[in-house]
Amino acid sequence: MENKSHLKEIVEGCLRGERRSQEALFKEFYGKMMAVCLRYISDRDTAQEVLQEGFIKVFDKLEVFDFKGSFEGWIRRIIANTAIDAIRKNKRNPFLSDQDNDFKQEVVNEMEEKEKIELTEVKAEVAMDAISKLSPAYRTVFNLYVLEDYSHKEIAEMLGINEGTSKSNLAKAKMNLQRILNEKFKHIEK
Amino acid sequence: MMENDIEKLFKKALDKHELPYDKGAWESFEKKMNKSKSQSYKWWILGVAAALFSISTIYLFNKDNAQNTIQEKNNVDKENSVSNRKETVTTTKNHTNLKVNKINENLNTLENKKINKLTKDSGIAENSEIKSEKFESTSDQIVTSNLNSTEKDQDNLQPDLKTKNDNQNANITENIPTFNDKCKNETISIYNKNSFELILKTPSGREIGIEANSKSDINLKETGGYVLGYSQSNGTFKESTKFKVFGNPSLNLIMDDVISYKNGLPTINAEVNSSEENVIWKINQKTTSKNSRITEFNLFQKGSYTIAAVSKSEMGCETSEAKTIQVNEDYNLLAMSAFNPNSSDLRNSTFLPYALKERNVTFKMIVLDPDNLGIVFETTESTNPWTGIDRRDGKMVPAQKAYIWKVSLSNPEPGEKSEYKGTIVRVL
Repeated sequence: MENKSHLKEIVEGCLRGERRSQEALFKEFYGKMMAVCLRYISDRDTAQEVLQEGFIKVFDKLEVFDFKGSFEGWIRRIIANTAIDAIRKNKRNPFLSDQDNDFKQEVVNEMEEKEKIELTEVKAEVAMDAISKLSPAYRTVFNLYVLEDYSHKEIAEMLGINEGTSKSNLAKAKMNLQRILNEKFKHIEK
Repeated sequence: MMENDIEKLFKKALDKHELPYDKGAWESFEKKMNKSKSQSYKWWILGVAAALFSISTIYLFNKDNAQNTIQEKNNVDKENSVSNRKETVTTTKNHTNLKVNKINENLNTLENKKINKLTKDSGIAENSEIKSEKFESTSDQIVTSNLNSTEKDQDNLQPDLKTKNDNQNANITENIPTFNDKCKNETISIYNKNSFELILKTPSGREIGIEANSKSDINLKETGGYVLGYSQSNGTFKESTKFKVFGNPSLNLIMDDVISYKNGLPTINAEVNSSEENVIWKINQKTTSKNSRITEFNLFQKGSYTIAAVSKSEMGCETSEAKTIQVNEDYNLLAMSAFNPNSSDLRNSTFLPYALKERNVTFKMIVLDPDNLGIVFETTESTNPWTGIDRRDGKMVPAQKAYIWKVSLSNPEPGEKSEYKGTIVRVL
């Protein structure tokens, strides 16, 4: 829950350049934003760096936040954007990417239609693990669309791909996630 | 499992997902932040140095031959870019200079980008929001009659070559006004003294152009962060100044239409519903000391009163509402003008201004004989009214004779006079 007046105080302190307020803001959102970063970048050290960069942007841009929308949502979008920039920049970094064209359409992983397992709930750790197994292209679109609520149009603009690619990457990401979960729980059921 | 279920499944699992705080994360971040600050400081110094160098170089090179060439470049440029946009304008000058052509190309690309953007935006822009006027006319007026006002604005987008070039090299010839934070619906005047267009980005992302050498009055209709800057030659937007626009508090004033006499005082009740805790109350534009949402005013004198409530947000933005009330007579302690000692009605058989019985006030009342100003009666207790007896002889005063009464209050209300007087007649 966002406590608006509490937050407002912290933000105002940050705007006055108070270190204590900056620290409070950082600690308040660290855990949530680290989770966001790790959805895009599974390497923890890199994620940590991206998070730090993101927070620097947050403090830089703080003065334009107007308390109209959700502050958490606002930070989250900055962090997500920073993560995407990092993926784009470190294209050749093996920790980050398994493809040359990160956000371009990938070859479909044929999915086995049989043996679908019905799940009603998964733990956050399982979900994170499954997402980390996706290629950056699928993972990014999935994160942006499903968890960050961006539209395909917005995603296409952000990633420099077309809307169709965004849609098909989402579909493939979901198919792959299904497959990953199937495999995981197949063992358990047996 | 349906595909959408995957979405729901992951959203549910990760929406509120939070990792534990890593010890030392803040300290490590702080280090990075300090480092990035000192780096940006270094860049800033380098930038200033580069700027100084560029200015001196440009100055030396351009000193002699600048003026004429630049004027020509401008003419050619303007015509060229206008003809690209509007086929109705014909180019009258040839491109004689290779260098000019090259720069033209760049500028045209920039222009086209801008125009696309502006055309896209102008559909949304509310005309009433912006009032522009040029304060220095440009030498070339290539405006065809079929251009509407929005397009006219675009015609002046053409940046002055020299200044723009200086800008690209040195970044210091820009003259961009700064603004403090504002409140919604305020109007700001932006004086663009540059020879290139300034762009004001609204919080919703709309762009308002302020053409070169002109003044625009802009009504701030959105709340949030506004950014003022301009388009650089590579098409990117250069932020120069930022300011915020805060919303105004809500306010609804409810006020009595007529005066009432609560506790013997002439009273008007007023109340506001406001998003802010504190309210400033004004009577006839004078600020009172009252600041609660529910309050009352004692209006002692005949006349017209305009009562205004002003609500101010933390950010200093105000909303006010005012109502006017007419008071038809001066307050005189609600004194009667006659009494009848023989009446069986206690309220009628003695005399004491009614308000003195209701009010919590210490007073002294005297009743005087108008013939010799001798004191007929004197009291300081509201339980001791005048019964009509003249204390000088112990007899009932004659009927139909007007006696003078005077009341002095030792603790009048704020804004109230301390002396009241009137006449009283004993009737039969």
